[in-house]
Amino acid sequence: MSHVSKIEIEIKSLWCLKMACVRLGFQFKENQKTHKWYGVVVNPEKYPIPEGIRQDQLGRCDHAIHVPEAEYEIGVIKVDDKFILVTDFWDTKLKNRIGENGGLLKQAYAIERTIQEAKKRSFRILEQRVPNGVRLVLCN
Amino acid sequence: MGSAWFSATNPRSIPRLSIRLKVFPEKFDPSLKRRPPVYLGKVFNGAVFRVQGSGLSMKQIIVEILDDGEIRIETKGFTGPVCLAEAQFLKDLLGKETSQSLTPAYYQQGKQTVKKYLPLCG
Repeated sequence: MSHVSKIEIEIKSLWCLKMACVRLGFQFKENQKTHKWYGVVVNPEKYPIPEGIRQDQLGRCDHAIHVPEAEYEIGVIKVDDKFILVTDFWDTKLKNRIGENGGLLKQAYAIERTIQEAKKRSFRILEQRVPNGVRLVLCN
Repeated sequence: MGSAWFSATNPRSIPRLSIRLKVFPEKFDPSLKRRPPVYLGKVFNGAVFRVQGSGLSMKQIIVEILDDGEIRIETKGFTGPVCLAEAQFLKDLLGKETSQSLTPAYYQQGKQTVKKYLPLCG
């Protein structure tokens, strides 16, 4: 071992996000400008609006992700050079499918992004399921 | 390319496989020095395949992506600071680095380990 780093995911590739949706069985609705949510902000002190988004922007997006069996949708909003995912977590079916704070969707995105780049650099890739996540081993 | 060396208790159990393995190349090219073979331990249907290897440790970049979205990148087989450069493309690709910890191998220069002492007194 030489070093260990922890990374906080930022979504920058729309193509990899689409592939992540395919991996999880979601529908990516490109250029859909609105996404389904409750419609009204409830208790903003306890559930604050995400950073980089204003209240009048809620419900509007650049693209949307539809999760089967869920009532609400995930909005994909472009801010500068990255994409923010916005959704209404009151839908428990949606929350269960994408994980706490969208963890499973972010995981799928990170897998696709890593595999895409590793293939470009001619790495051999091994994907393994581990108890609390997924492990990708890149060898060259 | 030579033929694979194999042994099996029942030759009839050997599957019909078209496998080309480079085994003991020095038999075909006398200019190559004999190197000890590396046994990979692959067993298939009772046949043991023995393949020559370089004996060098494999360099790996291990990316662990947890179910909550957290990413942990680990490098193995690298000595010295080169591991940081090798894994940098992944960090730029995936997001912001929030923490980093260096292992003893990071301080290794060639085969020598550099010991670092902390001034505890005076």
